[in-house]
Amino acid sequence: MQTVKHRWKDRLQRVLITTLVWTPPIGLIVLPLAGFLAYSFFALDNGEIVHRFTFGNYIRFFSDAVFVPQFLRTCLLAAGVGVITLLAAYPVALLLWSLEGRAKHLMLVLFVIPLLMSYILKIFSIRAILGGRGYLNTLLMAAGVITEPTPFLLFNLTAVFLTLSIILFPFTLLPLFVTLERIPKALIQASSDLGGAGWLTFRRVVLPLSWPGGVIGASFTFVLALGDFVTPQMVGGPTGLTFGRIVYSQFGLAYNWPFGSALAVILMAAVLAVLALAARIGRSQGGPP
Amino acid sequence: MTLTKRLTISLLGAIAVAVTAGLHAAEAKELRILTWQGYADDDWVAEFSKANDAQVKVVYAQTDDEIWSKIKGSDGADFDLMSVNTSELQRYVDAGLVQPHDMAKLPNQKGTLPQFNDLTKVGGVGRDGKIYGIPFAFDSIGLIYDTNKVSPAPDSINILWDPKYKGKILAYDASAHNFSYGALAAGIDHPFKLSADEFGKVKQKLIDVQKNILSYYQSADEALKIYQTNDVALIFANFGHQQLTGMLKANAPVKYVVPKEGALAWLDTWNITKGCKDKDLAEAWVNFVIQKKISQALTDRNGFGNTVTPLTGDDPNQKLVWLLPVEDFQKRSDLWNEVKAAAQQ
Amino acid sequence: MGAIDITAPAAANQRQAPLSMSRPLLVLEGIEKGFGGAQVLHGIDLTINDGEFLTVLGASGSGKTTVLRLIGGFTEPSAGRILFEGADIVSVPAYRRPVNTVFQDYALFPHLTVAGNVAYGLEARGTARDVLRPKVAEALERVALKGFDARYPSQLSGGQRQRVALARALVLEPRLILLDEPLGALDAALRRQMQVFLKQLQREIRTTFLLVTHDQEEAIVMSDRICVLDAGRIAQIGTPHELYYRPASEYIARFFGDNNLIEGRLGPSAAAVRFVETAAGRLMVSTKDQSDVAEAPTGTPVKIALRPEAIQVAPGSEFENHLSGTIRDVTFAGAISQIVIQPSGETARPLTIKLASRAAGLGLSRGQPISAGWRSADCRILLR
Repeated sequence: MQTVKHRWKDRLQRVLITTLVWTPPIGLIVLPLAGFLAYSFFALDNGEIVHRFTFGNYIRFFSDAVFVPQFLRTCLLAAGVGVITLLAAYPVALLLWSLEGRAKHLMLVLFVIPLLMSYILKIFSIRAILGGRGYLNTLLMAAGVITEPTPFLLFNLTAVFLTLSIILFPFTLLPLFVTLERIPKALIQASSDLGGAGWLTFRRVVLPLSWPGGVIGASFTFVLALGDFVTPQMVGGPTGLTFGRIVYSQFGLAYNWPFGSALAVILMAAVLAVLALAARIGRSQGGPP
Repeated sequence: MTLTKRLTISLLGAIAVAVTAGLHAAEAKELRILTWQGYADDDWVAEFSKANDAQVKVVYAQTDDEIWSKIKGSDGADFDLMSVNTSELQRYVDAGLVQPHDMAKLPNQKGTLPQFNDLTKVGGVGRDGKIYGIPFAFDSIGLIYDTNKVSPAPDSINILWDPKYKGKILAYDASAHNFSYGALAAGIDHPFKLSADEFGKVKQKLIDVQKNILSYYQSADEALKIYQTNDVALIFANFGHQQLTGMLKANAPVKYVVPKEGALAWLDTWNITKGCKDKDLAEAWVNFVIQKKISQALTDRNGFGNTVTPLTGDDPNQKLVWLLPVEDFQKRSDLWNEVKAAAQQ
Repeated sequence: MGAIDITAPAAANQRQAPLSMSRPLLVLEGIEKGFGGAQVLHGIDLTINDGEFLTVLGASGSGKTTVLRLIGGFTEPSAGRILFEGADIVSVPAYRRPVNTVFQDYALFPHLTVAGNVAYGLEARGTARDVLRPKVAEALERVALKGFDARYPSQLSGGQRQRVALARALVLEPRLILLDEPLGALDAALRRQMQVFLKQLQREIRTTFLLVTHDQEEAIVMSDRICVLDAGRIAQIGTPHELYYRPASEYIARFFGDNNLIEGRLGPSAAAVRFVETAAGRLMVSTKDQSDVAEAPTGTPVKIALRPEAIQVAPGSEFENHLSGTIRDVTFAGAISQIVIQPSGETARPLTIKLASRAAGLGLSRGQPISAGWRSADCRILLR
């Protein structure tokens, strides 16, 4: 009798715990996403959402002259940001990796602190640096590199690219650094022991063992850059239109939730594809699949 | 019980009834206002209450939609007075949630500025000869220009298209307003109801102006920050005089101008709800606030234009185009994305 | 440590005897090493002869791994010289040193196949493909991993990984191979197998091996010479036989198995022997090769190291030392049996004896009175 009661209690407890564990992710992630998916098949009529199934939003995306090129252009921009942050993150991660003790922690904190700062604040700072009368122009003029301030540093797609690269840099750096940290020092010593000087060790051991981390980091950055709508707005000037801004305009300005949802679903699909690819590469680390 | 005693009791009872009735009457004189912060300040309310022996209850709204839901939700019964802008007012008139003003009860209206004097000529406040909104506060979306960089003072909106100012213009990222402005610049006098042809014309005009634009901004403060670190000559001043005041405070050498083609302008009005309980008292409030003393205080305290005293430095003949609902918000938004996409080519 | 094994090495030891060529290959000279204030090595002088199998033996924290890392080039000494055939290599980076290391936990490259791992060093040297391939094949064959070329380390057992690590070092034909606890991760049976394998391999390829381990049994089985480190200092260097039978200190005596340590004070000397007064009576101990013991003043407190297998039950007159007592415990452990006896002296400590087991049994049981004895040549006086 007692054991039966016990078992029943155990089962209840298990059900309760399972429910508790699964409620937040389902309630906060899966349901909203499902909501987006559902909305993307609705239509808008006279500013009112019509709950009738239609592929109209998707047809519009693929048939309109604006959206597909904008989408591809933004993908290219985000991919560029991913690649450039990866190239920049390698030397920094290697430097961090080679440091010891307090110096390492200090440097790491230095590179990660920007993550804790307000996004808007960072963009404002970058604007103050790149502006026509900003610090960089002043510096370049003082150094005699230019005679007149150049306005080409800010308010164009290049500025969006630069700003995203700077702001998202830690997202590429951190996974790369963590992967480097996971490489046993003995492997580096083994390479050196076998006659591999610095460059060879990097090329044959460090690079192949760390690049999955770099790829994961760069794909985080890609994903964040792809959906970003604040940076293009703030530093992009009239040419700073990105897909993220178009999605934003559907929700924030046009109140066309169904079409905005369709765009968001398409963006989501691209993001998932990239993350899946990155995960595949990440898994390939350390030998056969 | 003696007769005297009975009489005394009856008398006392009668007095009690009379007093209670009197008190009740005084209590019933009540005004319920739904408006914006700054439109019913405490000192004005105190003065009005005393003069009219009335109780005034003020509720401040945060958004246009909040007012709509409160009025629509109670079918206009929860408030006697409200204030919405000309563009918003249209849907209240359509839904029959407001009632016309009795101009005879508003003697102070005669003392307003010429442009507000004849309300039949003020767009958006009336319909079918009836007046549904008494103008109270307004501001325009004009141009702010740097006096060191733009000389002589600009008089036309088309200065934004001048190649001389390439990369020196700040604009506001709002599709509806921008199409209205493009329409004014293109010489279209009904900027809120564009035909397909006109849309094509305005769209091209907006594409053309993109290359002159340095950046878009979202708040007055952001515009000032960009102005301070970049070579900016002209600003499309979405936040009007408020924005100008902010820039002047920061010692920017700027001035404000309403171009000859006209400037879009919002105009907040007082409106009597369908469920108004004491119409006379409501009209008394409106008449009270459009007196010179109160209107001047409104400008002094908030920087908005009022309908009685002219704004310092404002041309009394300036052309203001009061905002009205646009024909197709969706279409403007979509076309605006196309304009911005075209700018990248 | 299993008692079975300690009887074996004597024979093995005689067979290999010190290799004739005692030409020094690598010499550590006055090596000091400190890590942030903590001194790890104190004045290490050590010569590794060409062709020998030398083991650096020590407990964890003794500094043995640091010795290996210094030779491998992964760390630099605070003071002292490292001479390779007479030339100081302290400033030579690891990748240019003529030594290769088999790392603890093997340090195989997880992203490379077995063949890729073995070929790594040759490729780093720019060896041509057609030379490289047969060399890799040969190295893999030598470690009995023919046909494993295309596997990845994650697909191998511990022993196989160990052999890949070995092949990776062998293929470069280094003058000196450093082995850092190479068998530590293997189970006991495999470890024993690998000990034999390594020893044979070392003899076949006639390459100098420097092994670092904490396992005295492993050291005894495999080494030509053993260098015992104690807290950063060399406690004793010698052949396994020397260390086993002629420990220089109590530390060594304890390190090498279950020596009986009998406390006492030095008594009078005689020809090549010295008497020691103990709780179990006066004992006679050989002082061969121990001039310091022969000359030490009478009354000096000492310990006698006495191996359990040197004690005989019911001894004849040829045994100079005798004592009687009672059996406290008898343990059958396969090939040998262990007997603990309590000598009859009041304060005498128990002694452990190891005897070869017999099918009929030893006829000994608890509480039984017993007499035991040993030769003076089979025990040794320890001054420290």
